[in-house]
Amino acid sequence: MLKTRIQELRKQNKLSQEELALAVGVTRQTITSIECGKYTASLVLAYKIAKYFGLTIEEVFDFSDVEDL
Amino acid sequence: MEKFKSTLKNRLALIITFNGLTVIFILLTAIYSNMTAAGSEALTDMIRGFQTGIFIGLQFAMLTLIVKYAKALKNDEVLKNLYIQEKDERKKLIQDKIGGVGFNFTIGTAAAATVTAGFLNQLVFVTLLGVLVFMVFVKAFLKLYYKNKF
Repeated sequence: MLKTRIQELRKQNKLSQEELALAVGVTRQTITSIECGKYTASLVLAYKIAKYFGLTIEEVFDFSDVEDL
Repeated sequence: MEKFKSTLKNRLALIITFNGLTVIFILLTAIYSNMTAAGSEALTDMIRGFQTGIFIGLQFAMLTLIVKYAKALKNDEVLKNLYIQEKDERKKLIQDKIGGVGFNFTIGTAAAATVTAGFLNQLVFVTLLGVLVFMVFVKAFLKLYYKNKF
């Protein structure tokens, strides 16, 4: 599963999981699962999250494990 | 969101129609309760209870949905929350992993067959009821498993 900086970015922006979830159109449980690394966000959701924080997908999601393959 | 609103309106109309049919089925099962399959007296009572109970359960489920959809149609915030709940990609993944649509269809068919068997043969009724309970448990187990996994 992908590592992400979502939790860190949320804390920087003083944002709750619920607020982020509502902004990107998913449930709070989905954000929790992505942060825990249990669930990998789709490309569309990854794009929405990155756009919400004003960053690129690579800056939010860590693809180093994928690149090693 | 307008498209979702019109989908909800269509669903509401469908549920209200189906709700009326369920009331008719409850009345019919009450009227023809003496027509249940002959055999053990205890089983006959159970069959009557199951036939009435399943329709009353459906009735409650549909009333809950009617209230939920009517609230969503009146309030935009509730509508957005309902939209998110329905379109959430993790939920969709879990539903796909379980084979939710197929499972629901099979459970519905098995329930209808169980109700019908109650009028014909007690042994077939008990067998189908066992199958139905097993399927519901399997679905619940799979849902819990995948909710925990993802």
